[in-house]
Amino acid sequence: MQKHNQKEHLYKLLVIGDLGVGKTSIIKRYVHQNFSPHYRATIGVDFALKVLNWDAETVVRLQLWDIAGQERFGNMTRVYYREAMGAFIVFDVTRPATFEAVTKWKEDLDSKLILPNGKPVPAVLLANKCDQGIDVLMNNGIKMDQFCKENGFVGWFETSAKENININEASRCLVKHIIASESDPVQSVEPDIIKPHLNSSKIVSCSACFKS
Amino acid sequence: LKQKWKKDPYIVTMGKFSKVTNYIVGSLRSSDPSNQRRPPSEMADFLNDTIPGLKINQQEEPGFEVITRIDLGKQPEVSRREPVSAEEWVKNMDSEGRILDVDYIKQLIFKGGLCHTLRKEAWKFLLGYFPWNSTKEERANLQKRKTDEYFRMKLQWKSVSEEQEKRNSRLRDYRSLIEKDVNRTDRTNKFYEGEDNPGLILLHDILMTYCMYDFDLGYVQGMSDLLSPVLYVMENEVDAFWCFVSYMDQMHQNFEEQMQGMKTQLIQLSHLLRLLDSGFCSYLESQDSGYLYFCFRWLLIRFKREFSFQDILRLWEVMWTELPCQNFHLLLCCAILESEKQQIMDKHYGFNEILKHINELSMKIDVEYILCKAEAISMQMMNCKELPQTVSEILGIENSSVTPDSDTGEDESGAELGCPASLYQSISTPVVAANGTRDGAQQTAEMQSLTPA
Repeated sequence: MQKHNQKEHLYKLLVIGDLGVGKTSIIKRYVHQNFSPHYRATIGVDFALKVLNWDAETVVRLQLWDIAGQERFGNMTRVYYREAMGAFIVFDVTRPATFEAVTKWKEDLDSKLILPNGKPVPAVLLANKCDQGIDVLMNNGIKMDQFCKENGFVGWFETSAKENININEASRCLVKHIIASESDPVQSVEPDIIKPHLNSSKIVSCSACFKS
Repeated sequence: LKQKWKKDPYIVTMGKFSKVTNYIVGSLRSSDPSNQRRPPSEMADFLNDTIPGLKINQQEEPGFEVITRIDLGKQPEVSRREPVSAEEWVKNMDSEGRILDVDYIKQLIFKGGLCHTLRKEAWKFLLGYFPWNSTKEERANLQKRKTDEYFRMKLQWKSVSEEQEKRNSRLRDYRSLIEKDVNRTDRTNKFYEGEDNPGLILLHDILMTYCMYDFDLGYVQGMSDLLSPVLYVMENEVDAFWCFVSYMDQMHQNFEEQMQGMKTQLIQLSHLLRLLDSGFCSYLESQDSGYLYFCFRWLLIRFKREFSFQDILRLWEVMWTELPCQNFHLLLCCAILESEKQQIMDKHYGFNEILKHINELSMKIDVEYILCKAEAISMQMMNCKELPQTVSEILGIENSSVTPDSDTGEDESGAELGCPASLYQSISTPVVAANGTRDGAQQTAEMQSLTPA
């Protein structure tokens, strides 16, 4: 299978966010290409693997760490943040409270995890359950871009694990940023951080990936 | 660290050093790497680093460390028996419905579990909803009272109007959590599958009523996992509720804000594992996994996710007998870990891989095998002449005066489970090295000790 000069990367990615926002469903969709509304609530931490043929020379193996959203488990689950190279922070577009918690999750992440070059780990924000139509938060793409910039997300996506919307795209976006920050560890990853685009008010895109 | 160093230079230095290279510590202390030990204070450090306010070092004399290497001897062979039959159950009841020999019947349940038809009745005793010495009539009265009490509490949340709930964020949060979790609890089980299964409504209503019973705790993730098998067996809302209440009495601390129950159990487990297999403990520590967080799910919901639904019914009823010692579930953890030790160490699993491996054991563990192994470990420990005080406290083995009263029945295996009093009497204070020199740690004798500087 493996070609001679193929490079292989292994990245540990965290999937965090409030309880019931669909973290497990996103991972199952991404890894097993299926969906069920009845996945068990995650207790503690779960784990899944996804192999990406990134390009002709590169294979990327992703370890996806599904961290329980229940707040009081935090003390014991956050030890598993270590060595992560990137993160998805997920909220549920039908529940505003889960969006309000996003900054809390991001701060928590940044306080516990720093890349070897001293930068925070790249994080992508996922606005999940976008198929449900009750989208009270996403009516303005510019605001979300602004939010991402202010809170240090490298991009954001409207996703649906149920309808398989944007999950692959979000992952590619995150991996791209990880590879970029890795290949040039000395230089700042700042240039890769999103710039608000005034014309990017159309949904379903990662503003950062838009450029490429 | 500096202060600790002043107090216990050897332990602190070696402890910190061993973080750097466990192998060297091992070879300094003894030529056999499997003998390497780390003082409990090192473990405490580790836990304290991650969980604020956590204390592991419960030594009576501060600054005084006694490290002993104890030989537990060979693991005895253990066999299990058939589940208790309806006939055996009835035979042990008098004409008014009192259980005649409680210890005997518990012994049988411990050794073989219950046949399924008996569970509905026997679990009520095991969980403490029915007193063992009650008559049939007393139980009927109790159930009547408890039914009223249940529906009184159920009415409390049922009668909250939408308007009221808008002003009650805690109730709203509990309700939303419960709805989320009921929808994803054992949905492949016949009792809970499909969209409009009455089992789902019962699960929901009981959990909501539990919030009224204990509003401070309310609902925390994991509780639906504990209720589901109980409700499945009871097939009755009120009985399931009160059995759940009794089960929650045992499990309450796991779910509290500070998760004290979880912390305590992890510490206790590390004590037991250290006695059983200090080499494996050291390995786990060398992989930054000494605090055993990978056992989190096992402990939080008593292995519920690790075994099939049917196996969980068996496992739980065995644990509810509280035999052969306190905290038998921790010995189950030890049994599983000991079974996996070889692979974990041979393949040199690290921090992430250990968790992954342990998580993936789910549905792969043989329940009867692991019950045998845990029982064997309990016998090893109970027969141990130099059982450390902490371990005997965890297992609830009091020295001297305890006599084996659990083998009054005809069941011959009972005699093996009880521990002769003479053994307890011989539990001696650990041998302390003569004058607390550093050499104490390197004594070739079975007993090693460290004394204060």
